[in-house]
Amino acid sequence: MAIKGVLMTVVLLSLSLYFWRELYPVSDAAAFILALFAVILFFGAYRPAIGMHRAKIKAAVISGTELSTLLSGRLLTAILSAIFTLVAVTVLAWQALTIGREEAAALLALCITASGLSLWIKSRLAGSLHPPFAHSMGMGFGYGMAAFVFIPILMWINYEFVPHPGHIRTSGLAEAMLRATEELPERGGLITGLLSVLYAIDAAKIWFAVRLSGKAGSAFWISMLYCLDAALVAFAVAKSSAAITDLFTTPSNKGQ
Amino acid sequence: MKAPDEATLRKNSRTGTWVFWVTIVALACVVVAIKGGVLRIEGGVLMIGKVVPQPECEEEVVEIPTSVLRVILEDAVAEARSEALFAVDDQVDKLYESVYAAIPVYTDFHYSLRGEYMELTAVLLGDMSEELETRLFRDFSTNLEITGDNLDAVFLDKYKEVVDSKTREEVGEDLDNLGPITSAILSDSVDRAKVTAPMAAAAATFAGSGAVRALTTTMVKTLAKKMAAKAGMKLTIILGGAGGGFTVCAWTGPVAFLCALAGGVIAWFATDLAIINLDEIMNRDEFEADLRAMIDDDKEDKKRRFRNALRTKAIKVNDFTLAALNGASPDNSAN
Repeated sequence: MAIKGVLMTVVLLSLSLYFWRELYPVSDAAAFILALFAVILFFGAYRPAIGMHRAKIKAAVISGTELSTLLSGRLLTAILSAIFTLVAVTVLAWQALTIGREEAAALLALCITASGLSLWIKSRLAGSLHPPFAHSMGMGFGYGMAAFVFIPILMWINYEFVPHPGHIRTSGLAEAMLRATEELPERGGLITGLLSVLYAIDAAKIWFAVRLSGKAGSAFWISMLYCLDAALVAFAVAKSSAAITDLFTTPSNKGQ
Repeated sequence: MKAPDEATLRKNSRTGTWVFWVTIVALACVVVAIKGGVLRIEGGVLMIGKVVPQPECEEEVVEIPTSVLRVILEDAVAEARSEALFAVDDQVDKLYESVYAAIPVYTDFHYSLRGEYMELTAVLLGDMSEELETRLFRDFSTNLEITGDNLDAVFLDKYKEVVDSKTREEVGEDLDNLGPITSAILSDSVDRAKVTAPMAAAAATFAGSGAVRALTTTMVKTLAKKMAAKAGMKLTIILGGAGGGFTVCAWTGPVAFLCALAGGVIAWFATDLAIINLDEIMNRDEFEADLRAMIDDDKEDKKRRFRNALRTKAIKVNDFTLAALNGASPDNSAN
C-alpha cells in the first residue's frame, strides 16, 4: 500500500504540474488544474492536522462543558491548511514554469523521498504514540528530514545548472526584475500577478548573486540567498508530497 | 483512540485509490477542455463553450498614402537613432563598470610579492597580455555583445513606438482597419529595423578583432617599463648584498662563495618586499591613474564605434524603407 501511495502521489503531482506548465501559456484556464490540485492538497494537509488538534483539545478541555462544544479545531485547521495550500500551490506553479531537467529530477526524487519517509516514520511511531500524534508527527518528521537533505542539493543545482540571463550583468535591480516578469504571458489577472512577484524575487536573487560574486566575504550572502530559495521550494514540495500520500493511504480521522 | 482494524485500512485504501482516479479523470477533462478551447478565461471571466466565429462585417479599410508613410518611417528612424545614440553613453559606462572595479583589485595583486613574480613569469613567457585580460577584462567580449543587444532593443522599441503613435495620428486609435498594403509596409519596416545591421554583430566584430588584446598589449608596455626600472634597482642592491656577504663570509674559507650566495638570496627577497612596499607607497596612485587613463581611452573608442555602427544601421533601415515604398502600389499614394 505504501509503494502504491507513493506512486499515486508522484503521478498526481507530476501530471498536474506538467499539464499546468504546458497549458498556462495557452490560457489562464490552466488554473483549473491548479485548483483541482489545491483541493487534494488542502484535504491532505487538513486530515493529519485536525486529528492532532482534536487530540490536544480533548486533552485540554473537559468534555460536556460549553467550551468543548465551541472548540472543535476545525476552523483553525482549515485556516492553516488553506494558507499552506495557497503558498505551496503558488510556489509549485512558479517552479513548474521555470525549472529545467536537473531541478525537475531532484524535485521528483524529493517527492518520492518525502512520501516514503513520512509513511515509514509514521509506521515506526504508531507503536509508541497515539494515532493522531503518530500520524501528524510522523508526517512532519518525514517531510522535514527529506527537505533538509535536499536543500543543499537544490542549492547546488540552482547555482551550477540554472543559466542566468545575460542582461543581468548590465541592468540595474529594478530593470532586471522587470525583465524577468516579461517572461510571463502578456495577460493581466491574479495568477500572472502572483507569479510575477515570484519571478521578480528570483531575478533579484540572481542580480544580487551576480553583483556579489567575486567580492570578499560574498560567499556567505550568496549561499544565504540560494538557501532561502531552495528551502522554500524543498519544504513546499516535501510537505505537499507527504500530505497527498497521507490522503491516499491513511484511514479517516472520523470517530477518533 | 484505537488503531484502525484491517477492514478499515482496506476500505480506506479503496477510497484513496478512488480519489486518485477521480482526480486523474478530472485533470484529463480539464486538459481536453482547455486544449479544445471549450474552457477559457477572457478578461478575467470564465467562458465555457466553443467560440462561434462571427461573420466578418464589412469594414472600411484605410490605406495611408505612400508620401505620409515615408514621413512616418523616416521620423521613426531618426527618433530611434537619436534615442539609441543617447543610450550609448549609459550602456557603455555600465559595460566598463566591472573593468574599473577590477583596477584596485589588479593593483593590489601587482603590488604583492606573488603578483610581481606572476607578472615577471608572464612577461618571460610572453603571455602578460593574457594575464591582464583575464584579471581586468573578464567576460568583456560577451558583455560587449550584450551591450550591442541592449542598444538594438532601445532602437527597436523607439522605432515601434514612433511608428505606432504616428500611425494612430493618421488613422485614429483603431489600427484593425488598416489596409493590407499599409499593414504590410509597416510590419516589414519593423522586421527590417529588427534585423538590419544588428549592434551585437557590430560589437562582435570590434571585440573579436583582438581589440581587448590590443589594449592589454599597450598596457603591458607601460607596465614593463615600470618593472624593468624596479628590477634594475633591485639588482644593484642584491649584488651589493652578495658582495657584502662575500666579505662577511670570508672567514668561512672554502665555503665563502656559498655563504655569500645565501646572503644574496636572503637579500633578494628582503629587498624585493621592501621595494614593493616602497613602490606601492610612491607609485600606486600613478599606476592606477595610468590604467584608468588607458581604459578611459578605450571606452571612448568603443562609444565612437557604437555610434558609427548605429548611424550605419539607421542609414540601412532608411534605405530599405525607401526601397519598399518605391515598390508599393502607385494607387496607394492617390488615396
